[in-house]
Amino acid sequence: MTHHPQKAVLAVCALVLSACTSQAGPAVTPSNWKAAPGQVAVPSSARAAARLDEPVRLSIPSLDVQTELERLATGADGVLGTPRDPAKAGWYAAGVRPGDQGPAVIAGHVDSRTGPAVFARLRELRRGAEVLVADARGRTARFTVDEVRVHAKAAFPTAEVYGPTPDAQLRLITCGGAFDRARGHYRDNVIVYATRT
Amino acid sequence: MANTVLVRRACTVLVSGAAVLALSAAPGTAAPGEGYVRLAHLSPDTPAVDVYLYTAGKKTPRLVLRHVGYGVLSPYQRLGGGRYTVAMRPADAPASSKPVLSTNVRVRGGASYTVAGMGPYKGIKLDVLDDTVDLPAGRAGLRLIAASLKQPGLKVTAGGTDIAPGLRFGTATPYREMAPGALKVRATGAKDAAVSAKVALTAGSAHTVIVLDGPKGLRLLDLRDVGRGAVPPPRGGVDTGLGGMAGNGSPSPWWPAALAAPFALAAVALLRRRRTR
Repeated sequence: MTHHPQKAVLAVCALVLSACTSQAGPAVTPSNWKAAPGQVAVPSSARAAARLDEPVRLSIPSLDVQTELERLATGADGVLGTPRDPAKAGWYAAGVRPGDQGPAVIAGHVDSRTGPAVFARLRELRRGAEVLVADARGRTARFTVDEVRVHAKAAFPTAEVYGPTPDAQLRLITCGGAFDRARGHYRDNVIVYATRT
Repeated sequence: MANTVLVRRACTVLVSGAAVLALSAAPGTAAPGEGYVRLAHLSPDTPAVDVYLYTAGKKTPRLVLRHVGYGVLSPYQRLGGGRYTVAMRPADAPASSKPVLSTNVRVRGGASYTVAGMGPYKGIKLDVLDDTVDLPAGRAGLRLIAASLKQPGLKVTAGGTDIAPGLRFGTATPYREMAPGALKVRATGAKDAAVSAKVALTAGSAHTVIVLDGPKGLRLLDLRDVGRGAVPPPRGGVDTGLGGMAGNGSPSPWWPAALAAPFALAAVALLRRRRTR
């Protein structure tokens, strides 16, 4: 690898300069910059987003996916269970309700024993795609996809998927990667990350 | 045969590279090693400011919030772990001018912070509050910030219990561990000046309640902080696949993660060369 001592020196100078310039420069103060007694904090007029009841339906228009939602729970081993019906996705009911602060989790099969299932094309989702979750009263929360990632199940990103967030988020999970015939399971999870919009 | 193995290995490396690239550039989710920072103006007699957030050592701000007035907080910003500088300048002052306030913030992965201009105009300081709270299962957290100049000494109760008997202007209490429930939080100043609000504390949630000067006396602002999850998460991955679409030993399908296009395109080129159809 070629050694560039001049570049290194320049880089150090730039670093020192930038550290200084954030504090230096002419002390220009606008004429109205002085104590302003009597200021009051005005209540924000922003409406809090409507809270949904428990989710019963999921739709992903760009994939032509419309499904009712089962309720998922963890088993005695602490592992998240999966929908009984490959045609339906399921919501992790002990976790966050879609639309509430934090990450709501919905999982669905990529395939049944004989062919494609509800989340067969989940990994085709792209940033900006819309995901809609509805409750029994027909109220809907809309989420926009931020990104799609694939992880080996053996290195599942638990903190990223289930960790607290300051806003309302959604994770859609299915399987991917190579199918391990000995175990009867796919090697990877495909995870879609979306934020309520 | 040797060619196939080589191509397969190269594909695996490229695909893994793609996964790593997508991970490090996550726009909407916090990967491990990232945290959250929100910015606040809580000095009652300080005029509106422009707030600048810099990665430490950089000249160009990564975020500028303009005309932030008293009582305004930004949403939490997701940031990679590391060092940052927050600077406040008078609203509309040039970006090259000397800030009126500046402080460094070290963001730890998985943590959250509030960087707030606190205290009176004469003596305003930028405080970095740690919003990361380690709550026991089933409990909630509650913290108070006194930001009223008209009532500089406050008594605060929650559900009738004293939680801050002598809260001074320009200070923040640590988080107090609370049982979940809907509580009436009441702040009282001198001469019967008082305000109350209902705060819904759910398990795993953390709230910051700020006492402010409002249009009609004291005002309470109830903020939901990042907190921690209500229940321990499930273990491991999810077995959402029964094999109906699995080929007979075909290689892992690759996916074009939006930010990993170069890796993905190279992988396609290699795969195309290998396939006979």
